[in-house]
Amino acid sequence: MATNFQPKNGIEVGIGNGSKALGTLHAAGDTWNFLQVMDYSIQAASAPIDIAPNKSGLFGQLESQGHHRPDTQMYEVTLTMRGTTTAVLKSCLSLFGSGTSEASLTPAANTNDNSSNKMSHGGTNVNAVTLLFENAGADATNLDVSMVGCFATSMTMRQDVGSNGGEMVVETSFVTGYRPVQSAYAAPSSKVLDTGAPKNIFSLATSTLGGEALILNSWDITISRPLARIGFQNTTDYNPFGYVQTGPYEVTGTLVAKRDDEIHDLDASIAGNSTGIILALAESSGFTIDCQDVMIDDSKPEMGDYLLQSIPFRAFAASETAEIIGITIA
Amino acid sequence: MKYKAKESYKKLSDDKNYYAYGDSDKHNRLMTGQVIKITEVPKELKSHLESAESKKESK
Repeated sequence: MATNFQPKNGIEVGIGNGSKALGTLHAAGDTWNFLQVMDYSIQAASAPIDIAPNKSGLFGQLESQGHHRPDTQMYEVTLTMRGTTTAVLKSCLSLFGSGTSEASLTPAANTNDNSSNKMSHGGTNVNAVTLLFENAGADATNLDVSMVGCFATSMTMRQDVGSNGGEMVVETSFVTGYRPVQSAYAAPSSKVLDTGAPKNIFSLATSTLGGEALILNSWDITISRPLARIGFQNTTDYNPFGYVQTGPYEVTGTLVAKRDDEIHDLDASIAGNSTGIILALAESSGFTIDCQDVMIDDSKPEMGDYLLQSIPFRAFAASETAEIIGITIA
Repeated sequence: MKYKAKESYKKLSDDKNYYAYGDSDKHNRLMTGQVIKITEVPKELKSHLESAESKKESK
């Protein structure tokens, strides 16, 4: 009888990054950022079952009808982190290839291999990361779980006056087509601990939409994209040939603001005049979110102790080279 | 601040250009002649980038 067990709080999450052949584990000597992860999900090697059709006249399923399909598997994990500069920039890196400030998303953004138009197994890629869950291995000696070839498919930044002391939270989902591995990973030779202070809604000096100054109760912005794996190379480890992005980046979010005269002045945009307006959220320095062309999506009043206005929106680029969202953070 | 690449940037190897700083997007845009916003230019890249601020903006 095994006696080992796994306390959830005993697991530390690291992100290995830097140029690497896609599908290759970042080594102990590579850059390992250990972010302020508050919550996480993990994955283990697994495979769904496809069931072949039943023979007429039988009312039970035969073993021969079951087929494991590891070749279709995309492993997804989500990290919930305190909203520091590093948390934002590492998320932007593996989501749209922008790992330094200003992180700028344009319609031309991608996470392709270096100087390439695709994400292919073995290609040198600076955007793919390795996720390491220290002490998450189920085995008594294979202590860690590592996931190689991870790209982000979505990140959400949010702030709320009513939770987390107003601190920004970053929630990022990563996917990989490579099987998670349980092993005794050689500890990163240098852990870069994230000791930065999270951004805070109470530090916002600017929160305007269409030039109207809003008193925000909360806001969130999500950047997302779809990724699919390309088949499998062999029946040993079922590594994919690579990935393809099957749709555009989408930038959506919601502002929840005190319903007041400024909301009234936004009436034309709320009613739908098909004209993009500027969203600006900024601290006096060190943090700016700039969306030059957002359209309000079905805004409604919201009931609370006093009236609020919920303002869902979607951000666009004004041209093929224009910015959809720019995040300046330091 | 806004910057664009000098010709010398385009000759840098991948271990010296923006790939080395974990930003393929900035590299790709600089290589196509686009103007990008950079919060803090890495010291090693300063001589390979030039300001693209208009005189009006930089005042």
